[in-house]
Amino acid sequence: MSNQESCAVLSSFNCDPFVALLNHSSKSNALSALGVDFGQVTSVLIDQDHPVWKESPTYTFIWTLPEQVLPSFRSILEGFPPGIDTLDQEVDLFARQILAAVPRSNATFVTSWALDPAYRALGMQAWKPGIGIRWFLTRINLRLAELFKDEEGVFLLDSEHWLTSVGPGAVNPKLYYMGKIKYNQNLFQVAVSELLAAINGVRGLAKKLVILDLDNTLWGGIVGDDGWENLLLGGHDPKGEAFQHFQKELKALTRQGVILGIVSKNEEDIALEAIDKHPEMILRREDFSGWRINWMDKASNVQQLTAELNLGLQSVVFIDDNPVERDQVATALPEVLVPDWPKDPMHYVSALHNLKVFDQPSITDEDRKRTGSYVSERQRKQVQQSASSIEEWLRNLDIKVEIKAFASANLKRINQLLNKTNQMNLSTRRLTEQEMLAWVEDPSNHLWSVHVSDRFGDYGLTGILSVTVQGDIATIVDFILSCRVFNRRVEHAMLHHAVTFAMQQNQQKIKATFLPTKKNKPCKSFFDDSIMETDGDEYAIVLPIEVKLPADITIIAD
Amino acid sequence: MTNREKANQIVTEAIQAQNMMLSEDMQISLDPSTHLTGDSGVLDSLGFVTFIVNLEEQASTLFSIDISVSDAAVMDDMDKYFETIGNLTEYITNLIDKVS
Repeated sequence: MSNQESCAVLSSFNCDPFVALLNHSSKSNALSALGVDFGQVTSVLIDQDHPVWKESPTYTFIWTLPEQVLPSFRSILEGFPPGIDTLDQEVDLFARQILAAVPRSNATFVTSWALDPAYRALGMQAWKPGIGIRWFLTRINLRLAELFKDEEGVFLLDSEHWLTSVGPGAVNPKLYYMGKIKYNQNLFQVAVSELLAAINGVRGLAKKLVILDLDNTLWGGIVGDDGWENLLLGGHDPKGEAFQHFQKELKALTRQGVILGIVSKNEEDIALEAIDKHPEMILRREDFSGWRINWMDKASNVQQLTAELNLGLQSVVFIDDNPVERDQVATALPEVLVPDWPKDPMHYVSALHNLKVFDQPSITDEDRKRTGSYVSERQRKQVQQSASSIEEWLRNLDIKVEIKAFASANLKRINQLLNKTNQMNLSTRRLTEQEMLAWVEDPSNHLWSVHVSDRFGDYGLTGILSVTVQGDIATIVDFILSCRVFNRRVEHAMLHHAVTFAMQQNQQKIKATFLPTKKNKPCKSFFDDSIMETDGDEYAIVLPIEVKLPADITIIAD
Repeated sequence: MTNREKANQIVTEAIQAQNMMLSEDMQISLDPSTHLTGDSGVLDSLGFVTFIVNLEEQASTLFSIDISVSDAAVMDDMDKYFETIGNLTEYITNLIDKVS
């Protein structure tokens, strides 16, 4: 980062060691700390002319003890009867003071309130509503979080976690009595690393891709020598459990938008077989956006894989149990984060958590789904490219079609599909939700929703089929399929279901009328090539007939 | 390991921790003649507080030795015990001798 950034540090206790540690890290983080005399948080917040604001800090960091900024909380600690309303008002006022200062920097970080780890808080009454200190502490923290929830650029940092990670020694009374310094150096170091992790998240520098070795990193043992059946993973072995736990934590990362990759010196087919077949694997092939499993040097593989995924090397974390491999990658690709890695797999999970490089200012639904959609599309493309025929491609996709009787829970989605789908649409009829409900309630009418998935992902509710039965003739009314899934024989599965249903109802004939629009030619093309006899836009077939299931598709019907 | 060696290690670790809070031009040398307090000392009053706590914490962490380097008598005659790293190491050695 070319420009030096700064962070104003406002605290209710002596934070000089924190400021010193933050400044000490300024070289590698392009950040300098602007300390303000402690105990002046409120006056600095409300004074927009205070010298610290003249410095135009990039960030603001506010660290307070609840008893020092909330008089009512101090009273509660001193044993006075609690005044909940007053306490709430004090929290609200404090939040308003912070929010008033928010525009003065790019992002504001506020620590959650915490008590000394050694504080016993009334023992068995600690959590008693309206009485217990823990209950009050939780209440004021939740209130503060709620007051900040819609404020972009304000982040509540979890100081309780910092205290827990350092342990009881985090608070040294001698420091406080002699210098009004609340915490020891270890705690301040944790706080610096947490603040820097948050700032890097705001800077958009969170890591996006974790590239993993396999042998003795994701599982115990060498798959090429031991065979996948003999790998140490899960089961009742402590180290096996540790490897599996590590995989679970990596999987959790993918739900926050982090992508996984593999770079391993192995035979690709042997390694992938282990990933596919080992019953205790948490991470399967679909959890990896890409891989380079070969005997090339790992730095080249990391570079190629990162380029394939359209990411920069600065977005990458490389995890390998082998220090020689780590050194090779770290030396060749200094932009890649290559953390030292513990020898004992039982420490892998804590090592992953301690990286503190995945913090993001927010996690959207798209982030949560990124891995799935990224991997799905990439894998479909791979399968399509490698397939020698459309049949082989479809066979490899392993498509599952679920055909479910109408359920009101799906009404909105069904109605949306009915009214928006143009191409694969037999009659293009448009109905309101009420009209659709009324139609379905008629016992002669039958409607199914069609749900499609393949081995790479779930497309969801993507089709509608409806049939009306009059006399001994069944008529297909709606034949609708999202363009995302047609030409994958899902339409064949739907027609198969309609014909089978008509035969189960002892109908003599099933028919369909194509109502042409400017856009629904694909639907006509399908019916023209189907088992139904054609007469212009009219299609029919006399029942019973022998109906073959479409090849390479699994149909699950109600 | 002799008590003198333990004291050396305690002082070294505490100085290294202290240096993490100091800029490059203010780093404390491990040389026994380095002045810690007094007119030419490298520790200001607040730095002194964190330093003595670091000494006590290092003694506890490294050797499970519970020492207090901040007794009132010591504070009254700080220069005698803290003037140089050499003085301090001697003082810590004596404290360890007493609790051993």
